[in-house]
Amino acid sequence: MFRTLASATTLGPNELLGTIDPPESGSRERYGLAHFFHDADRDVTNRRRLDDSRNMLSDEDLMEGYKAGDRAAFAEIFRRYAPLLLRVMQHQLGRREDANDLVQQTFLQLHRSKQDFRRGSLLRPWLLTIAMNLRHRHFRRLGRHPEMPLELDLLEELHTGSRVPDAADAGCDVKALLAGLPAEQREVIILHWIEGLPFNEVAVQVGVSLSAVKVRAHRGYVAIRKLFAQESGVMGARVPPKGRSVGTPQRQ
Amino acid sequence: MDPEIERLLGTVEALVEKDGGPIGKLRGLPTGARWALAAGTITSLVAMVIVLLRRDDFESCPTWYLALMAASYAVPLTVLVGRVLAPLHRLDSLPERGDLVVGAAFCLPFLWALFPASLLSHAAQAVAIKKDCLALGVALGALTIVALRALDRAADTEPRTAAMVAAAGGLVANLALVFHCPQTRLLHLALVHAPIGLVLLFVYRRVTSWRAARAAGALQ
Repeated sequence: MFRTLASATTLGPNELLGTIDPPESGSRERYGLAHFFHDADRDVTNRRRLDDSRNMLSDEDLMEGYKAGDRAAFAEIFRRYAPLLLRVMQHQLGRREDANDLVQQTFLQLHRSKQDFRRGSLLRPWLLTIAMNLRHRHFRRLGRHPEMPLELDLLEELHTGSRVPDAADAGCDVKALLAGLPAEQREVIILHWIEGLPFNEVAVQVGVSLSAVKVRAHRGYVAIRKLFAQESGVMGARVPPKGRSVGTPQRQ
Repeated sequence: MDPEIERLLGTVEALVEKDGGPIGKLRGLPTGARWALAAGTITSLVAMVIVLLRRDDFESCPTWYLALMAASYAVPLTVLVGRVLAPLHRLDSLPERGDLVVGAAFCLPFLWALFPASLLSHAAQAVAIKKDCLALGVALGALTIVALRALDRAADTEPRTAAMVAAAGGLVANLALVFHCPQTRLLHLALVHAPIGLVLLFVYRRVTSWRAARAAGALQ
């Protein structure tokens, strides 16, 4: 059930807004420094409580809140994802100004697309895909090809050392494994294996049929097995699954 | 809190605020609604031509020929509009396929010019040349481009997007001209009808370059 920011806290309207109650007109003189500091302290405390309550909300709750008109939810989403996107974009583009511009465009697109966000979807792959598509367009405008797919770079950021446990056990670099796949298989594998999405959600994300996703995933996993065996030199080592084994699915 | 992130957030919030106008509201509609609006606009343009500027031999022209021509333009047009208005949170897994459709959209009117109705049906006869085909086609194509630009959330000027919207405009123009111009001469079809998409692409690129230069000048 969707929770608004307001219902997620026990704070009243004034406290939610973090305002300082104005003094009564007749008691302005008595509203001295002590009262001001007292109210300011209360304001800071309220803000902290509000921030804490926002921190407890999932990305998807925040997005639903933003759809319902809560601007603070948008700011919270921005604070959660802008640093990551900024780092990755700067690594990819080189220029800080370009990275800033693409991050701004990504969140502007998030704002424009908010009515497309459906309950039950995950925000993170949704937002990262917007960033990836904008990055592709940026390179096309410049007449250049990206040197590295953004999704791989993001993987590196999202998964420390760019290793997923099973593959890391055998000393295999996930990034290298995925880079060896055709783009359409890689995309499905990332969403299913790394992001932990079920096939039906992957199909929605990718925009193809469920059976096409399954075929791509099957081919991708077969290819990864081969690459994995080649890289690790260990036949029969634990490798990416037929269905999945790495990365706990967030939802089935 | 990182001051740079907060500063960036301020800029984004200002952008979002600025996006609250009518165009911003159109772009903020769900994808299905934007698609329906685009389809409605295109259908209205073609219907307007059929009602107000119908070809003289409309009643005697073979229905199957008109239907075949319309369907052959409508199919790639549907694909192109779908791609132009595709939401950015979906991965474009096969961009090369889109390029093929764009290429086909530009070539299709030239292909049809080789097979005019007079070749395919005895009923169709060559008649006097219509002189407004180019102007009407370019106007309809331009209106289509304006509508697609207004509904496209990214609406940028990179070459692939420009080619897609121009190709869509060219297809709408040729689709409408099927119901407007009874001319069956190869030269007229190949030199006036078919190149409308290319004309639109040229004009669109010039206009967007000019606007970009003007915006850059305003910033300096």
